[in-house]
Amino acid sequence: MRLNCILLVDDDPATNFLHRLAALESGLVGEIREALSAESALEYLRRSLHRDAENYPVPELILLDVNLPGLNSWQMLQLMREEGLAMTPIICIASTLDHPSHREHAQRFPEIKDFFSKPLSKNDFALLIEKHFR
Amino acid sequence: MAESDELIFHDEAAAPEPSVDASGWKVLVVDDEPEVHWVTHLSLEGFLYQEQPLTFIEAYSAAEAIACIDANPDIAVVLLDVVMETDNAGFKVVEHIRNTLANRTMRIILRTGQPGQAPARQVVRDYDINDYHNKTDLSAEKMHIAVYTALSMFDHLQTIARREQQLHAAYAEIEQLVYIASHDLREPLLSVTTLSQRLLDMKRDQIDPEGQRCIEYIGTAVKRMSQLVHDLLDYSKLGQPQPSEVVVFSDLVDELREDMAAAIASSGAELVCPSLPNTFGERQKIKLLLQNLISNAIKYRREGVTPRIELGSERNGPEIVYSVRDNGIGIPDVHHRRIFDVFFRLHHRDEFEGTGIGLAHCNKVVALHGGLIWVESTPNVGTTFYFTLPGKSPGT
Repeated sequence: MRLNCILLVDDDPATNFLHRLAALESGLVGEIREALSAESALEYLRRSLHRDAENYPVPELILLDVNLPGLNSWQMLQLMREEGLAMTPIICIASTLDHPSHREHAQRFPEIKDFFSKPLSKNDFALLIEKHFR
Repeated sequence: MAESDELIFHDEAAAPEPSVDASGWKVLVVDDEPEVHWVTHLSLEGFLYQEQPLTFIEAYSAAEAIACIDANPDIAVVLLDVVMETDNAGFKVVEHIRNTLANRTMRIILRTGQPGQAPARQVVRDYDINDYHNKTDLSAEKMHIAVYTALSMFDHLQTIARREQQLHAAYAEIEQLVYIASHDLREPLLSVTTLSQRLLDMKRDQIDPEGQRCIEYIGTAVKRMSQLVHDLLDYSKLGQPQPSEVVVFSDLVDELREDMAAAIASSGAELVCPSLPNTFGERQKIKLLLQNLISNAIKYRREGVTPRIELGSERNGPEIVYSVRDNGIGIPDVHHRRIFDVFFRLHHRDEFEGTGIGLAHCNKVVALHGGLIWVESTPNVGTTFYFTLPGKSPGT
């Protein structure tokens, strides 16, 4: 299974860059788009799903940092629902996964399919695509 | 380490260990009449507090009492006569305990044979005396109660003092840990910066653009980490107590106007400051608090709107509620609770620089002074930060 487009959401450009490299190296992803905040990720989805799918390809997977400045990931997921944008599977990523509130929050959102530790390797990409998209 | 462990794992419900060693509670009896000593022993015969007996120390004059106290700083209760070698010899003993030795835990029960000589109320207050009795009124029953009450107070004060000491030790240890960590982290960070820069300089033509970007990101990440470490260090330094003083608020504002002249001029900000009441506290920290709030107000201005920052105050009992109002971008309600957390950031690094320590500093400074800080804000209208500080020194 190969994904046409994935969306990377992280406020750290270096992390997005590393994930772009890893995703490309896995050979399982076509296009890779990046957003540096929940706000700009939402804007991407609005355009992609409602207005301009040509220039903003619909992502088949969103890699979402759980620790974003401003609007946080849970608020973003809530807004995605309210605006009818919550159709994409989400993989949550974090630099430390042991924060108990993450799992608690995640239970409220079945859109969240998995948790991964940052940064993901190309093997992680292969693994998660194999697991959730076969 | 043992001290802090004790504090952390101390069971709140468990009875505190008694503040006494095996020899019992030391009671100093001071009276120039030998029969008073004798009667005291008789009245308190068989007395136990927390299953420990009393150990009597006898003194027949103020001078003797002072020598006894110097030799036994762990005396729990002093049963003290007033009129001995002089009319106010007893008060000399009190002064020695409270002023010379600065001992406020030793309990003092005054027993006087000449009631009315000194007004009891005034004596008790002025000399920090814990109980006052007329010798003739002091039956064995009353004597028991007076000594029991004094001992239980002594015991509690000792426990509080011990806990406070443990708390201080634990706190100092944490501060020390943060301090050492931040210092030791700096060196490897510096190496990473220098080495990655050298790699880029030496091998630029052998590294493809993607590789170059990797190295650049190493540089950015390390720079950011250095800033975080630096801020964390500042935050830990805030915990080190400085002497408190009367802080003339208008002087602080004048100094800040000078310190922040560049930021004020370049943003065209207008800083409006009516006459503000003085406060009492640690000057440098209060200055930092005000500086953070003003610089935030300048930093988070609305595009095309001249920043206007207005300071204000309102008296609220013993406290003063100060306010810093701006006409900036505002803060949405959902964030009001979290903005005071360490390293909480509302904005992406590209929009506004910073690590997110500023308001955490403010919060800590206000908390150190026993105050509160809160925010009222409307997005695209402006923000007002309120904080409370003492109106005067706690002693006055």
